[in-house]
Amino acid sequence: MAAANKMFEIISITVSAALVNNIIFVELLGLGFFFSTISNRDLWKLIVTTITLVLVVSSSLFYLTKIYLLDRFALRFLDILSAMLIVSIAANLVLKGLTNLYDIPKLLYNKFLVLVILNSGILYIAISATESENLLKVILNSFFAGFGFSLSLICFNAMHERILELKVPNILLGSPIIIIMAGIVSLAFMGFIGL
Amino acid sequence: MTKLKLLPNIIFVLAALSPALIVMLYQFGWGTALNLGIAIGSALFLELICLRLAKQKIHLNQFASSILIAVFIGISLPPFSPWWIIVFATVLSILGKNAFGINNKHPFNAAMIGYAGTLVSFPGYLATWIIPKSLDLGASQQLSLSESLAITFQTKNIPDSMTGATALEIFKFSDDGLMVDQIYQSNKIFHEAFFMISGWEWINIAFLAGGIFLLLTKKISWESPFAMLAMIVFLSLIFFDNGSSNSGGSPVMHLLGGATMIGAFFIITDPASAPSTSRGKIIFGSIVGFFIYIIRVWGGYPDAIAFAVLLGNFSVPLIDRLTMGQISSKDFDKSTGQN
Repeated sequence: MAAANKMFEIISITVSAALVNNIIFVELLGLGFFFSTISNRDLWKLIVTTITLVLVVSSSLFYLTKIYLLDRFALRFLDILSAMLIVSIAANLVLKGLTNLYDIPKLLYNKFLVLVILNSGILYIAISATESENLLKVILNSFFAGFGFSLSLICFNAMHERILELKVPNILLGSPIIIIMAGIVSLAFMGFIGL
Repeated sequence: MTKLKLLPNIIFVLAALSPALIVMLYQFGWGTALNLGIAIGSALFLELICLRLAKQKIHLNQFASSILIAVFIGISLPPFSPWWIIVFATVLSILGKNAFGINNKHPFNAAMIGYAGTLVSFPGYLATWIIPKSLDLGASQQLSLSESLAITFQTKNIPDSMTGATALEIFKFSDDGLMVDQIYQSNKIFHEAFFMISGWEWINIAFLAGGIFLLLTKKISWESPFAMLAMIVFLSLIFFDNGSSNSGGSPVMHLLGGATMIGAFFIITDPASAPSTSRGKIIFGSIVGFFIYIIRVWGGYPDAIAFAVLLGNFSVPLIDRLTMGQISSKDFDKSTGQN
């Protein structure tokens, strides 16, 4: 019975992090980064891996900092500042690791760094994920939030490519149609309310 | 699908919808007819405006597809809805169709955009349905045309004795701790039914018949309806839980309640917003079925066709990309380093 409860809890964390509180379509609809579409498909795999890894590393680091530093010395007003610091450190660490593993051109590396560090979504998830009770839940939560983030980015990229082939009216070309699309998808995600 | 084929296809779809329309007219009286009339009228008017704005010639295809969308809107909204609800839903869907270009290649199912938008904006108006005629509660009788018009244009309120929750709503919002059999016993809509859910079983069976007609005439392919229904049956068998108080409901209730059949045979088979490969259609159908079940059972809404179809539509380009074969490495090499 206890094992079944644990299982159910894990499934509910998964679903709520990836779908119900989907970072792009539920929490922060105006996330700048996902409107800037990147045409190269294989770049997406890298971006997605980076985002998920950065998320997991930064939110677990932030969780530890929060418990052992901020809470202990009553420094909770430094929450956002320290989260920003930690997110940029984590992004650097992950990107250094990835550049050692894969061959990423220097130019892309810098672009990535800016994109990833400035990404308000990561900050947001990292802060909200640390509301969980223990480190395992923080890691699970941030991993699946990253999963939902990545899935929506990939779907959105594919959708954007399809829309480029359509004869969209001139007045809606460019970002208007993308915002309309995001609105429709966000409407669909409202179905998960109460899940 | 080529443009030439569109018009005959839509006529076939309308013909396949007709048995269900007749059943709905019988069960809900003038309400359905008024819904359909207002929706079709406003859809044609809006389509005309959109074509004018786009400075396009008048295509028959355009009007045919907007009539089809209006019929779906008229079916999915509760009978005797206020007229402005119907117009609102139609405006959303026609805009959702034409924003992606005047060529009937909208990536999202237009009727479902309208329905989902209305459901999210005005949940109160869409919560109660008319009690079907076959579930005779004594007080309910058919309203005359003039009374129906008065209700639709809001000069008169609908009698309380005529409205009630749908079977899925009753099942979802019934008190905790009731076994499935107890829910069935305490609600007339279940235990007075000829087959599971009174009134709704015939509507869904009529949609099923229309769907089978479309399958036999090869106007739609079998993959996505089959995958969606199979997914719903599979999930509801797993979570049926022998009818305990935690049960998700029986497979028959999920198949014959709500809008399952119209969703499976008429909504997700829309060629513009469905994947193009047969493997893709199976994946698409299962995604839609999966979302329908989880939102119905654990989500906040009693029925979920619209949300599930929109979510499925959102994943269609990715499904197409994955099932149509990998991209060659040449494409990658060319564009590396260029953002």
